[in-house]
Amino acid sequence: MEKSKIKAPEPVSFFSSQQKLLLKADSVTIVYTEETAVEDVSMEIERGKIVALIGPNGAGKTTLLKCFAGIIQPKKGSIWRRPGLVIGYLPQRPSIPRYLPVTVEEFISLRLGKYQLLNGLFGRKERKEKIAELLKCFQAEDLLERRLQELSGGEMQKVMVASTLAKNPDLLLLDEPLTGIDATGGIEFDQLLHELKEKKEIGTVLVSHDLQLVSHIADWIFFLNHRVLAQGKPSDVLQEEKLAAVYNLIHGK
Amino acid sequence: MEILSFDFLRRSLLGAAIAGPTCALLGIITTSRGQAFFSDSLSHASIAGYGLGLLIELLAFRYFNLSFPETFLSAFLFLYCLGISLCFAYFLNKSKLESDTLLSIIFTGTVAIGILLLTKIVRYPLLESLLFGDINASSWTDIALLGMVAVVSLSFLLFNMPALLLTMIDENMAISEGVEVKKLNYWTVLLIGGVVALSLKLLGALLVSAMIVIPAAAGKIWAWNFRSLLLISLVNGFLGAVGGVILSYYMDAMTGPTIVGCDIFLLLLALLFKNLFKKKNLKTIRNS
Repeated sequence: MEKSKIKAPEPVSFFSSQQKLLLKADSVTIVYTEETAVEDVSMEIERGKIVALIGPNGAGKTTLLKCFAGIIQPKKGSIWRRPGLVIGYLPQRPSIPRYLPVTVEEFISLRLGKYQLLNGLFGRKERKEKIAELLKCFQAEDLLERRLQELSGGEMQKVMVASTLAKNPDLLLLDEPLTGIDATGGIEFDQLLHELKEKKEIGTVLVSHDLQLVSHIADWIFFLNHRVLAQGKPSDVLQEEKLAAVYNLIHGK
Repeated sequence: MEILSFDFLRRSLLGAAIAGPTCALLGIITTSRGQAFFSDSLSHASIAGYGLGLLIELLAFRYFNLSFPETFLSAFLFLYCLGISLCFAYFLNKSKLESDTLLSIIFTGTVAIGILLLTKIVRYPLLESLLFGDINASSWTDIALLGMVAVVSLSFLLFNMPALLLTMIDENMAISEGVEVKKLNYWTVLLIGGVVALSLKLLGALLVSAMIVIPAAAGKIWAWNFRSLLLISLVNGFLGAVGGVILSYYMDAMTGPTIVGCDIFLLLLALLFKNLFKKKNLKTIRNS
């Protein structure tokens, strides 16, 4: 990554690269029935940038991502989305019903928005080819006819990520996308993310516990524990003293 | 076909042919979302609805000397079931109790109230056929109403199936892709209410949900993908309901239990064949 290309997204900046802005959160506060999950968080997500959210369990990372995806509404503050923005959202652990017979092809054509009940009448071959191509990025093209419930954890995660990319989204919201994928899968995955960012200028928000992945793939990191405790480039945020300081702040209370 | 020469049998057969497939399709949704208990509670709550309707008739007659037409009870029951199903959906969203706990409370509570009303106050003579179904009970008005609700249900379900399927797979994913999950949920629940209310007379309050749950469950055993699941469940629903009516006529047995028996038979058949010929597919259960 060339350093000159990386521009720090400042919390509030109306005039910086409006063209590239995909989503903007303005002092967002999200409250569940009793507790405040996210408090006063502002951030901007731009095209071709990977933003990582890190922080301890229960820090509100998943909640914030759901809010970006439009699943939860903020109690205070606002979310601005670029008109016509296509979002690809990958939930943390998709809750597939155990006995529902849905094949990988059916599932991905659902997310493509091209599922047809009367199968095979129009353009099935093209659709199938497109889905197979998508799966090929994950070396998973042999899964096409398999049913979701037969997949192992890693296979499922590959299918999930592939389906999230199906609609050619402008903005990817990925919640722990590497759960269950083995180490080599991890390497391919960050190559893929990098490619998406460089070639298609997709913006990405990545929630991950994998600091190693985050450190070499993210352009900007938010350290979250309900509020933003630290933010910056990976090289700045992920310094040992800084992390220690932040964790002390959390546990010291 | 001597069976078609009776008017009441023609009505029952037509009713079964419509209700069977419609219920089966609704069943795919409820069973996949862990709401199989929902239609059960709804049909049991209809006993209280029946008692309430009769009570209203009785009071209106006693105090205002009004007598309602015969269709009043059907219409009242239909609206009652729609109302109750919306209440269920609302409380299931809001309540802090586990959903099966809540449904179980409503389930037993409404049966108790209904039975008390029917036996103590209005002294209803046909309790048995209310509980277990009667081949003779449906009027042409009932069948016409059932037909209309079935057309609405089937077109709603088939038109919205992609959105419904995505919701079944992962609700949050569906919302993020613009599916109006809440609206779909309320519609589904309303349709279940309508279909249950109109299938009551054939199957009886205690057994009607079998027609929703069992054909879809059997379909899941056969199916190799979702489209095949739809098709097989429709066929199962049709065969079970129509077969049940025919059998109950020849065996001179109660209709509800006979239909449920047929559905169970189809389910067992599916299990048997699956075990005999496709052992490897049982691996599907290994992921938890």
